[in-house]
Amino acid sequence: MTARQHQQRFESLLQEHRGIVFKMACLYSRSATDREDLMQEISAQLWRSFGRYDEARARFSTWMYRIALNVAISQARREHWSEANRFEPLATYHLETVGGGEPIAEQDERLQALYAFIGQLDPLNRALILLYLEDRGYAEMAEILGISETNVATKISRIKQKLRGQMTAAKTTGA
Amino acid sequence: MELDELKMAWREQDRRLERSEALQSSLRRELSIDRMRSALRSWLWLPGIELAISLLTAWLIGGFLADNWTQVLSTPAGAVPALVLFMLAVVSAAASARQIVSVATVDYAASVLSIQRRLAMARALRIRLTQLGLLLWLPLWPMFMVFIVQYGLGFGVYRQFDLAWLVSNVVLGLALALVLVWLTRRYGNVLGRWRPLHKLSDSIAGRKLASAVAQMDEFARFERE
Repeated sequence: MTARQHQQRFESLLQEHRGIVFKMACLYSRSATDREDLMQEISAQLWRSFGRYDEARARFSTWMYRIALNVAISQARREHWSEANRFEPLATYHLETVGGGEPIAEQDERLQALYAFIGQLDPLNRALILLYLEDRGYAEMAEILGISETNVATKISRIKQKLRGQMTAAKTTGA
Repeated sequence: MELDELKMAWREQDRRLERSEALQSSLRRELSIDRMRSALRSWLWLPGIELAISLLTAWLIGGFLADNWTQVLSTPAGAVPALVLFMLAVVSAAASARQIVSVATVDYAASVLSIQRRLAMARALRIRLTQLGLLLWLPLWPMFMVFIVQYGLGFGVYRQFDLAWLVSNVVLGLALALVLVWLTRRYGNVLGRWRPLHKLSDSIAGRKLASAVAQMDEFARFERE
């Protein structure tokens, strides 16, 4: 494969899965500028690692999740995760305008609740919930994160319990 | 509201994103190869500069020692500052090279936990080296001064200030370094209010290192529980 073909193949795969990069950047950044920076960081790392990508070993999306999560978590930790306001919900900016255009869409109540909930999680549990929402199986989640399937199942169950508890508390207080 | 119900909202969001023209054109722009190349360049230049400075220092001092070898042999004590600084430059270059190799060879396609652990270890090493570098400056500045004045400017300062003077200054510098660590730990909150001092104070006091170690503990817990 020539260098040009290699680049074209990468661009085509990236275009096909660009939603992953965008959603990852949304979950691990605070502002539109942060999000753009993170998208660039993720893409740069994907391009740098693409030479070693072996489709016989992993699906492109699995490979991409690993790289994108590693970059996103590293950047989040480097920049602001240790600060006191680390649990700020993400909902406020997420579906604002993109590239100076029109707002993408109005957010519904469930989506707002989801982002507020995800905003409370630490980077690793945030990765776990993202993979769950993306309908990845437990085996694939375990492979991406580097933990056992049992551990994945336990953590998902805990997150569900936590969410249930919060929703119940919100109903009780009328919030 | 259950997590599965929220999953439906997530899928709905996916469909909206897919339909959004503004988003698609923005993504095409952000994910262009040219932007990726510029991001890679910015990643490489900073550690490269550190390595270049260390190598240049080692080369300059090493060259000086080689050119004045007979003088060094006749007054070995007088060469102590140059030798110490040369060794420090070599160690610093090796540490910079190690960091570059360590980060450059990280395979981001490996599992999240293993890579995060490796990056946290690299970060802890870098923080430790920064802390050491900041603190070593205090005991070593007399050596640096002697080297510059004696060999750079040609004044026989070493004859005026002998080995005892040098050693006592190094000891005083070490004591000051310890006082500085105590001060930054004790009054970290006050120093942290002034932004330029915030990071410096955290590095000297070891708070950054503690945070890196806490991260590694967090990874271990995530894997275990």
